[in-house]
Amino acid sequence: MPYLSAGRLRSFGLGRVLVLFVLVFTAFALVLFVQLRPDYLHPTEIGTDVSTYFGAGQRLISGREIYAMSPGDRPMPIWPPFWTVPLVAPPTVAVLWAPLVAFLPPILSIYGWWLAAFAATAATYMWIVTRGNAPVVIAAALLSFATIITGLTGNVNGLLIGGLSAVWFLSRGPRTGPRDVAIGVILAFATALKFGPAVFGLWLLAERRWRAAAAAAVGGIVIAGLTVLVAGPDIVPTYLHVAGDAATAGVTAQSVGGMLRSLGLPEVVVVAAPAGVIVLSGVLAFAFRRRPGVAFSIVAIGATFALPVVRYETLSFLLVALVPWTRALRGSPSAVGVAK
Amino acid sequence: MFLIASVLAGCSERSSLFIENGSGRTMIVRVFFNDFGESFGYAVPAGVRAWGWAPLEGRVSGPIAIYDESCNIVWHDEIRPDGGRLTLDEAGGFRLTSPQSASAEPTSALLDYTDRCADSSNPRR
Repeated sequence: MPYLSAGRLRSFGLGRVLVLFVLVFTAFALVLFVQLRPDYLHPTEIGTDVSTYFGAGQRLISGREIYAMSPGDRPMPIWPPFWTVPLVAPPTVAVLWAPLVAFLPPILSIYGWWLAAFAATAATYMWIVTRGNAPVVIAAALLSFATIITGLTGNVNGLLIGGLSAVWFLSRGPRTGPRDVAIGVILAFATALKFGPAVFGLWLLAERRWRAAAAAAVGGIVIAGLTVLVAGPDIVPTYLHVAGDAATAGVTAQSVGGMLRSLGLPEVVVVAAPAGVIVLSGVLAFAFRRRPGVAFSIVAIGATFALPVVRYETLSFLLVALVPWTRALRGSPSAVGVAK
Repeated sequence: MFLIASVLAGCSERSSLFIENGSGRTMIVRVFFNDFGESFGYAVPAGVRAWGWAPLEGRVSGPIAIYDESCNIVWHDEIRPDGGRLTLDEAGGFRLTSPQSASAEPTSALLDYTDRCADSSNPRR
């Protein structure tokens, strides 16, 4: 029998061949990206996402403005009209980074965050590829380039992908208090770091996970309170102004609003598009509430597109929508709508 | 091994940018982030010698460009990974040299950031 015959492939399992192919393909793509963009391996470089978070924490502990640059601040690129301020994320990112900047050497805080974000992204991707059926594995492969960019840039999305995937696994077990609190706290943190995950709150309501929803609400209030306490009350109108700019001038071509704009729809529709995505996600999540996996995937897709700023790498967030369609570990509660 | 070596190399990288405007006019200096349209910049009045950014952790990569006050590009080059000392001389010449020569300059002299010419396209494109 030839070394690589159809019979051998069948006995090895076509599914395994597909997984192996996707893993090798992803590994090659990773090497290619690093070759093309060596700066991806230098998160301390000026202008990277992690450098941006570090700079925000630095400005906060120095008593300077989070959303404006002063002489001597770590340089932060702007790109009018998409963004004209050194940070577009909610101020919680700066508050979270303040102790990292204050108590850790920059090398440790920057590389630590970068490695954590990379590990969270890579672990989620590997889980999906190794525990999904063929359509799921192919879907993950289609997201591989965006996933590699997210992982290598150390963007906060990497941590959110890992955290929101954990929410699904936590939701599969018995509805105990600690599990619900953990789900709520993760969602509160995720929403405080980037607005999109707020859509998962609708999933909690659709699934009638009242305790988790309450934990998310309380967690959100506590985090918002701490943020205002540390960053000062002026941070609220300042951030609302930044978010308002992002929702109008900052709309990117890949966002739903940007796509509607390219179709020639009026600006009011473009600006309202994220709200439309949230409402649609909520309606569909309630419609599919008896199929938690479907409802979870719907809100994950909604969270991806519920922002005015969507870039190619943002699509990596769709990995979260694939997590319910993976096989659970032996002995753990099975997922709903799980792949056979 | 390549990955570990790159990461270890990145750990020790520092950069700074000192600008000396010996020309008789205000110039806008912008540093672009790799191939992207994103940049940060400084308005450097005539005769000023000051830091854009004083030595800090992390290298820098991308084009550095100089514009006149009407945002016409007059010079550009790739910035050094360690930043550099940018000299604009009286004769209208531009020179980017090692930042080492700026190490004795007082770090209290810092330039304001500006968004002037920020909508200019990346000179690499």
